[in-house]
Amino acid sequence: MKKFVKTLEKQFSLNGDYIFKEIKLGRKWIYFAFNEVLTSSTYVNDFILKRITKIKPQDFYNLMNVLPDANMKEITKEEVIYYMHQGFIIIFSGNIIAIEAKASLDRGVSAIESELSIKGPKDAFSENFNTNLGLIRRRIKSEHLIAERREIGRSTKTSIGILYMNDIIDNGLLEQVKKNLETIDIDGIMDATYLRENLEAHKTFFPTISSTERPDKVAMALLEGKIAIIVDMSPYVLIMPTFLIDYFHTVDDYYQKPINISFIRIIRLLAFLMAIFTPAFYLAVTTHDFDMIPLNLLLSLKAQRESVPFPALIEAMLMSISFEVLRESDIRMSSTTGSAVSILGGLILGDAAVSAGIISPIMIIVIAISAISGLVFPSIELVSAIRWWRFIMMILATMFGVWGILIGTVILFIRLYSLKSLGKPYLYPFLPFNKLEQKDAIIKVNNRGEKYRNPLLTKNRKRGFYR
Amino acid sequence: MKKILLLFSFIFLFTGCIKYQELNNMAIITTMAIEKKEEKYLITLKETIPKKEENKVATEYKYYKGEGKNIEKALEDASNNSSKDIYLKQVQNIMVTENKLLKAVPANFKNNIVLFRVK
Repeated sequence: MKKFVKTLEKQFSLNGDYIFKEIKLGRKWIYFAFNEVLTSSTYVNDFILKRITKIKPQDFYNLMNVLPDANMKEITKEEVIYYMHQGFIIIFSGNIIAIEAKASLDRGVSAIESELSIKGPKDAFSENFNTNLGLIRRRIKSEHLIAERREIGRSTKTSIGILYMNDIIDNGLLEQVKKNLETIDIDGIMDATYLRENLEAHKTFFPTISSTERPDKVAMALLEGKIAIIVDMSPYVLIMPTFLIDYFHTVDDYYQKPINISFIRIIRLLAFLMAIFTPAFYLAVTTHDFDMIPLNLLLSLKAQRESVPFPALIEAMLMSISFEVLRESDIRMSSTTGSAVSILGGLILGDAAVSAGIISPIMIIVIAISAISGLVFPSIELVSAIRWWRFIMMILATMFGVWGILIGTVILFIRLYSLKSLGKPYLYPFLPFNKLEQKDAIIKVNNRGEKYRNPLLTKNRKRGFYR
Repeated sequence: MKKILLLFSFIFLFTGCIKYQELNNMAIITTMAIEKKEEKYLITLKETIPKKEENKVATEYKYYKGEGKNIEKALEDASNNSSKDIYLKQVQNIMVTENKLLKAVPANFKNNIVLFRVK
């Protein structure tokens, strides 16, 4: 044992944070090996090292029973380095024992930053695997919730957990997910979204896997028969399969009155359409199909275009790109320079450009409406997809007018229809049409005391009955 | 890759279908007046020019006249007098002198036709 520990010490001698200690017990030596930054020093000192001095020499071969501890394993020589990096303290006595003494290097359970809700719980996932799993288990206290573990990444050895409800899940979906995860062979993954590329079947603008930082959303998805993947060191949890209609739902919808939610969902649908089609429609009307708008509007648009040197498409692209630049700089900017620069950007893009004669005011209105409508959705992948399609529609509208917008719509629709999320059709409640699911898709009839689950995801359809 | 190439080649084929027109190079005609004088058609076109936002008081009007053997030739002649392309799809009113000329006018203008007499 001594030779093995000495070779280990020499291997890690360049680092300052690997600690190797030895304690004499009767006539034998006990060696300890642990990493100072990954283990919490209070735990190591108080619970382990202090108790070691109280054991008798004849317990040398029996340390497993003398030092009872919650998470304690007997390991082999090859696993020593692995467990040292997981935050365990290794005790070399008659056999090799690893005791968990992990330091929690994360921020605990904090508040939600991006997917805000008005009424509803506000705790968010953090970067610790155990915290995340605990937040979900607190909400689903059932023996059917299974959390399988895998490890991905050769250098990072990130542990991920696959969560599903045993009595609801469709085994075909599960097999597909596991098979996809086994094919990943990469150096390291930093975040849950690294896994996205392997798990998504299509290369497309629209997202087929959603990531969220709300535990209640994950719990609801699990009860519907979806699969969740938790990744260590990532505050986002992946949910699949996801349908397009899931991006129009927020968690808030289940905490408020159904009739108000129907109204809000219709507005979200309108925002989706406005975000894609407004600039394209404006461009088509001012360059090709002038007879679609009444005369007074046409005359006022013409008056505004007299003052602008560029053709309409160039102006629209210029405005869109500067809006995206503003948004990106807003995200990256630290809060000290925050508000002054965004006011400056707004002023520049608004007033000064109009009075300098570069951009017409109607263009600012059109682009601002479409960009802000695009930001209605909580998922940033959908916002990016909308942005791409907005550009495609603008180009088609300038070239072919309203007919071009029609062509673009047909292409968009065909694309959406052919997308599959984990083998299930993307446009689920609409095509293939399911009459019962319509009660929750756009117009909400009653709250989720609904009786049946999604038939595409599971065969166990009964949820239980109210009244 | 092949799909993208195919798509771009379609765009080249469709260039004949493009009716791109700049709004500032168009004269938007709001009223058209047709007279017939000794086998010749006299057409007067009234264009509305919107004022910029500073003074919204008055919009300008410009008149183009043309004459020719048919209505088409008269329109061509009228468009020679203007520096911009004539855009006839937003015409609101049509003025004619005789009932015979009503045959030349499309049916949805029935409510907007004005009969006038020239002395």
